[in-house]
Amino acid sequence: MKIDYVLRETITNLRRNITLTIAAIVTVGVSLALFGSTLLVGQGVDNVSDRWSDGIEVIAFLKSDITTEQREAIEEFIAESPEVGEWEYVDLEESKAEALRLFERNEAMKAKIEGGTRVPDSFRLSPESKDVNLMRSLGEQLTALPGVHIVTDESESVKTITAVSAFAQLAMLIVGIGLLVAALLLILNAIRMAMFARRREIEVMKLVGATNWFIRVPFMLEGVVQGLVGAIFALGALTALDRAMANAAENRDYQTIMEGFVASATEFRVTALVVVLLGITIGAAGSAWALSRFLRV
Amino acid sequence: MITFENVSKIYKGHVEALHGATATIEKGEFVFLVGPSGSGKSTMLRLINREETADRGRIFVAGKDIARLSTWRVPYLRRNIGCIFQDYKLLTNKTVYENVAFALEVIGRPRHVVKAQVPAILELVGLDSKTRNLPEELSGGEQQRVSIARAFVNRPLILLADEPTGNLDPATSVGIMRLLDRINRTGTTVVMATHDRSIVDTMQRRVIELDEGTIIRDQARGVYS
Repeated sequence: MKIDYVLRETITNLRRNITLTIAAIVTVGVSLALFGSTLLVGQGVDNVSDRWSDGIEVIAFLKSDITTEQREAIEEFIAESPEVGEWEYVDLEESKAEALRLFERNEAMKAKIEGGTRVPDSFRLSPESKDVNLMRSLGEQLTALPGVHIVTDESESVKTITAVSAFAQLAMLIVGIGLLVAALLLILNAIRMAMFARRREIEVMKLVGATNWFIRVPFMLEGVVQGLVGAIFALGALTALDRAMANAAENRDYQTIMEGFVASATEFRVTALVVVLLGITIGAAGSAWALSRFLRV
Repeated sequence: MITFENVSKIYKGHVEALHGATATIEKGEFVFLVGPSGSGKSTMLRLINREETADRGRIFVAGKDIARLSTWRVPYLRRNIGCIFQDYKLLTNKTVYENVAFALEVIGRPRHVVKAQVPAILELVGLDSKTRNLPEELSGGEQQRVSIARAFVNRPLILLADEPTGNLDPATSVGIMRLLDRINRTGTTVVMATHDRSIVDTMQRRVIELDEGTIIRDQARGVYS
């Protein structure tokens, strides 16, 4: 009895202000999509730059046929070189584990690695100072050593990606938050309109002794439904973005740049959860605000 | 049943709608509140069901000091008080039956109670043939009967009536008064604010007269003036 009353009233309210309902849902959807994208892209960038973190800026990958003597010679060179700050040796097993983690969503790469494709071991080091020339000369010296396959450093491209994405993320976050506030106000107004349309019923309900919760629940639910439906649209957009990121990461043409530029399945689930909870919260907050301002007991 | 102890009500800081009102209304009484517009009749009614709160003095309803009632208890107070008005306050998009049923549904009464009570009360007010009509299809007197049915369907202890015959012709008004009298005989306390001299004079009930917020007369078996 009570449940079907609440559902009936909520649906009537939503239909009565259909344009405002749509406006609120679209705004919630767009703002949450932007907000969620910021989180996803941020996680992708974090994953890309994972191996550049902890101050490691130069990686010397070793040849597959390297001898123990050659490796010890390289280690000795690094240990004694005054330009090198911190350094570590990452063996084959660790490298494989790291690659599997980075390519968690890239089935093709994962299959290759699991199928026995060798992930090279490496020395990772950070120079004593951030001087670009110093880094370059260190790289050149390492390349010249026997047994070194290839030396990479934190190239300009990675720095550019990080900088651009940081800027884009900030912009998206600002727009997303702005739209979130707009969504809150739209829901506030939608609920206010619904309350105005039903002012006589509310008056009678108070008069005959309906409890405050009984009067409020349909309006609360209306706001929550708007927030939730908006969040579901945002989830659709985020799923599309996640696919696009995964495809770009698998595309051979971009691979060097986009390598690892994906959010893990867990990160996606957490983002989705955050988006849905945020949608519900916005809806509940908007209607609670309207009720506290415009519903006198 | 209702006690006013030196009650004052001031609107917006300067208009004193009620000034030091003291009166006791016993269970089962029928009381008229009379006096010119703005004398404080409606304010007294609104104070009883706590639509307003007193600025000074105390009001007891059914033994409880209603100023000390917490907000969430107020609805339960109102379930003991039925209200009718000059403009009926019916919901125009609901039928006669639905208007009355609404009052029970929104206080969470189970469906079988609604199904049993609503037809009975509509028969009591003489509208059992019009249950499916919308309010706009009824005469003023019939609309007021619907509103009385809605106020009384939950069998309240008290019925507050704010100029219930204000929009009705004398003949129809008599019918409404007969109905209120019948309700009063079931033990329900009735407090009615009115301007209708002939009704007050005919009924010969207790009269409380107000003027500019002050009770100037409280007379058993009184007349209008």
